[in-house]
Order: sequence, then C-alpha cells, then structure tokens
Amino acid sequence: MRVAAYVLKRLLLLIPVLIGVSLIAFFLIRLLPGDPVLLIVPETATDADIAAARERLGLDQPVLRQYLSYVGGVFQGDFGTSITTNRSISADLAQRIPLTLELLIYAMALALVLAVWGGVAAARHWHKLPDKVLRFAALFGNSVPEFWLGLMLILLFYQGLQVAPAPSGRVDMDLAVPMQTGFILIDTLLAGNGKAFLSALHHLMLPVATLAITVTAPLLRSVRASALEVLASDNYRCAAAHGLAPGVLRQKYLMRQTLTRLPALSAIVFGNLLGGSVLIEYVFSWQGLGQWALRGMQVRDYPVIQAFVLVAATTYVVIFLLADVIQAALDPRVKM
Amino acid sequence: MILSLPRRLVRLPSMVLAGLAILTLVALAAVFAPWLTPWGPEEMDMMYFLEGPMPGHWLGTDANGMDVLSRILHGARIDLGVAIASVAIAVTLGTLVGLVFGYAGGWLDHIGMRVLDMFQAFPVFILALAVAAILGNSMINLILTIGFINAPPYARLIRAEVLSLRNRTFVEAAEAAGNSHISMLFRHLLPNALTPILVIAPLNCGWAILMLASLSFVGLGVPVPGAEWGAMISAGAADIVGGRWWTATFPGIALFVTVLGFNLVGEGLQEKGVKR
Repeated sequence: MRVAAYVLKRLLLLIPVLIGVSLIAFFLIRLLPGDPVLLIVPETATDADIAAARERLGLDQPVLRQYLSYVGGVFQGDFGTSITTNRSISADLAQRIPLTLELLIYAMALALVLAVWGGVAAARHWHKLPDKVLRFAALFGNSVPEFWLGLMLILLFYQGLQVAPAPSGRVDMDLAVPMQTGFILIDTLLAGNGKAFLSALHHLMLPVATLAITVTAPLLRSVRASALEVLASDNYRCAAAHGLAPGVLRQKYLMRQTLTRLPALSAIVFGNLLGGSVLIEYVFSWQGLGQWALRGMQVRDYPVIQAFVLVAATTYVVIFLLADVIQAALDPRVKM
Repeated sequence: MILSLPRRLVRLPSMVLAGLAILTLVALAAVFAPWLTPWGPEEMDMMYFLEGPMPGHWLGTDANGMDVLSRILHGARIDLGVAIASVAIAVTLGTLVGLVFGYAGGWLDHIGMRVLDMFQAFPVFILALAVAAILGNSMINLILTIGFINAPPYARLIRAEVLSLRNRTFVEAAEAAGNSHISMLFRHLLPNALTPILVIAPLNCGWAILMLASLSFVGLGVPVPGAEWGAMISAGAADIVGGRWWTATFPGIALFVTVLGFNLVGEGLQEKGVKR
C-alpha cells in the first residue's frame, strides 16, 4: 500500500516533466536557425511549393496549435510521418524498438552482474591485486571509445579468430524465423528453432559485450565505493565482531547494504547506454531504433528526430522512476 | 610560487602525474604536428593507397593515400582544441548561471532549476546528436553544441557551493560591508566556489573528446576528409572487414590514450579530494 501510494505520487510528478520534455523536443527544431520547410522541399522548389508544403505539414498554423496537435497525436500513438520515407513513424518505432531494447536489456543485465561481483570483490581485497586489476579495468572501460571497441572486437573475433559472425543481421541468413514479439531470442524459442536461437545468441554476443564493457566501468566504481563504505561502517563491523557466519555476513550485510545505492546509478548509466546504442547499432549494422534515428538525423528528417528525442527522454525518465521505486523497496529508510 | 611548483608536482598522486605526462605529449603533438610529420593531414601519396605500416608511412596509408600518422598528429589539434574550447564554454556558462541562481534565490532560482531538470531528462549523447544534426556540422557549431550540453552540471555544482557559502560569516561580513552584487558574486563567492570545478573539468574534457569523436564517427561531426580521430575511425571502419586494420586502429589508440590522460588527472584529483 505504501509502495502503491508512492508510485502514484511519483507518476503524478512525472506529468510536468513529460510536458517539459515534449516542449523541448518540439521547440528544439523550431528555435534553431533556419526554416524547417526549407529542409523538406527540394532546392528547386518555388515559393508556391514551399507554401503548399507548409500547409500540408500544418506549419502555417500558430505554433501553440501545432504543439497541441502534435502532443494530441502522440497520445493516440501518432508521431506523424517521416518526411523522407513517408512511412508512419509509429509503425517504424513499433518495429525497431524491440531490437534496441533487446540489446539494452542484455547489456544492462550483464553489466550489473559484472559490476556487483567485481565491485564487491575489489572492496574485499582493498588495495590488493584483485582491487588493482579491477580498478585498472574500470579506468579502461571509462576511457575507451565504445564504437572503436566494437570495431576492435570485430577485428579480433570475426576477422582474426573467426569465432564471431559477420557484423550484420540478427541470425544467420538461412535461419530466419517469423517475428511475433520482435525479441529475437523469444521468437526463435517460440518457433522451436534451437539452431536459430543459438545463431541469435551468436549475433548478439559482440554488440552486447561492447555495450556492457563500457557501462560496467562506472557501475563497478560505484559498487566498490559503497562496498568499502559498508565494510567500514559500525554496524557491519559489529556484526562481524559478533562472529556471524561469513555467508550471512556477505549476503545479509555487505550485499544488501551495497545494493541499495545501485538503482539510482543504474538509471544514469542507462542514459549512457541509450546514447551508446546508437553508435553500437551503427557499428554492427543492427537495424534498431538508433540506426533509424541516425538516418533521420543525417538527412534532417525532423519528425523522426523529434520522435526519437521524445521516446528516448520518456524512456529515460521512466527508468529513473523505476529506479527510485526499486530503491525505496530495497531501503526501508527512504521516505516515500 | 614558481620555485614551489616542482615540489607541488611531486606531491600530486602518481595517477595525476601519469595523466599529465600523457596530455603533455598529446599537446606537444598538436602544437608541433606540421614539423613532426612529413605529410600534410590531407595530402595524398598517389603511390600508396591503403598500404599497411612501412618505412615512410609508419602507420600505413588510408583509402585516399593519406598518411595515417600525419593525420593522427594533426588530429590532436582538432580533438584537443574542440574539447578544451567546449569545456571552457561549459564552465563559463554553467558558472555564471549557477552563481546567479544560487545568489538570487527565490523564483528565478526555482524556475531556472526546473528548466535545468528538464534538460537533464534527455540522455546527453542523444541531445548532442539531435542538436548537431539540426545545427549542422561546422566547427563552431560543434564546439557550441558540446559546450552547451555539458554546461548544466556546472550550474548545479556552483549553485550548490554558493548556497552553502551564503551562510558563512565571511560572506555575511562582505554583504554587511556594503559590497555591490557584482563584487559579491565575482570577488567573494566565485573564487570560493571554484574548487570542485577543477576536479570535474578534466573528466569533462575526456567526455567532450569522446562526444566529438562519436559525432564524427556517425557523420554528424567533423566532415571527411577532416583529420579528426572519430572521422578517421569512421572512414577506416569499412576497411576492417577486409583485414586492413590500421586505418581504424591507430586513430582509436590516439583517442583512447588521450581520454585516458584526462581521466587519470580527473580521477586522481578526485581521490586526493576524498582523502582530505
């Protein structure tokens, strides 16, 4: 009940944030120099053509009305039409979001496991070899450009060792399965096609590893720092002095208290992951949201840019909310 | 002051020293690039296209016959220059905004902070992509884009410092002595609020370089054939599947090492701060 009320309160607080986000996404394109219509019409267009395009896109209306009709459309799942492909943006989003989500979820899960395991191990061996190795690894992960890391992994594992598949597609060409959920690992299982499932895992391997490596670094540092704090805290030292079994001490004290800080940081890192996925999709020719948005950006397809910015920001804000709720559930001290 | 500099350097953590050493080398490469390299950054050697490392082209040539080593050294000028310029903009802008919000308080502070919150709802790199795409990719636009996007954290930081300084006796004394607002802001509050920025700024330079290189990598930053590390990696990406690894690998190493230099300095300073 307490949690439900808290969630409701946070959902209400979300409304002004989302209004702000939609205003920024909408006016970003209009505040910047240049007339969006001039980006749309061909360079040979006459004044009459430009006026016609303006009317067709509703750009002759007052700005406030344009905004309201855009937001109204978004509420009904209508993000408008791409001005370069003429496809419905909602249809494109529905098709591409699962591909990106799949990358993000696996990368995040892998990063969390690595960071918790590594961070706690580093803290327990403070200033000894494992700690030094892990801190060096975190420094590496924080400094390496993720798109270059992806290319180097392709060079090593595809070009060199030939253990990874070519960087394109989600399964080998001959193993296509019907799409039901859009999540390839689920769809191959639903189709009962074990070979395709393994092939999908094979194709996910490098992009997920690349993303996971770069987001593990900041998480690892934070887990290490909070584990060190717990180890030095009075209540932990008291519990240890009472001679609790090492297993209990580790699980109920060290882990439990270390993890309470993780949700908030994971949410921030998720934003990096969202941005990074654009680069990684580009490197691995992964036909997800990032590639779609990138193409839109390269040709200045402004309804596409607008929709992408809006979707990314909304996802980010909702993830933050989720993190706060998890945090509140983990840590009874949080005031709800 | 100058005589005590060596002793001050020695007292810095080894991480900071290592980072400073790397950055000094990169800065030297940037300054002396034209004299260090036999080839211009966009000069083509018509004899060798996409040739591996060899005498005369120590890191090989790219698909246009341009010398990879010469381009990397010249690239240091663009990458380091854009990073430092954009962080300077971010620091200046963020500091001014944070000072004013923190000092003024009231509705201005309240509304200003809510606007900053809104911008923080966007993943940083996605905002950078969108703004770069809309503004177009001239060098000035890139510097401004990266600078503006990195400004909000500084505003927050300075505002928090100012808020905590406001209750200190020396600030109250300065106010009671009848200092003008301008003098309060710039002579009394600003110098005392600057310390945390010194730690964040090096880390931020690393991010700024990564951001520039990432934008160039996807074609929204420095356009080809500009000698920028991300753009070079982007052009070299296509060569990798053919086994011609040098065009993407070497600029990436330069990028990685430079960012590592900034991170070593930033993290080293951070640790030093924690110990105190």
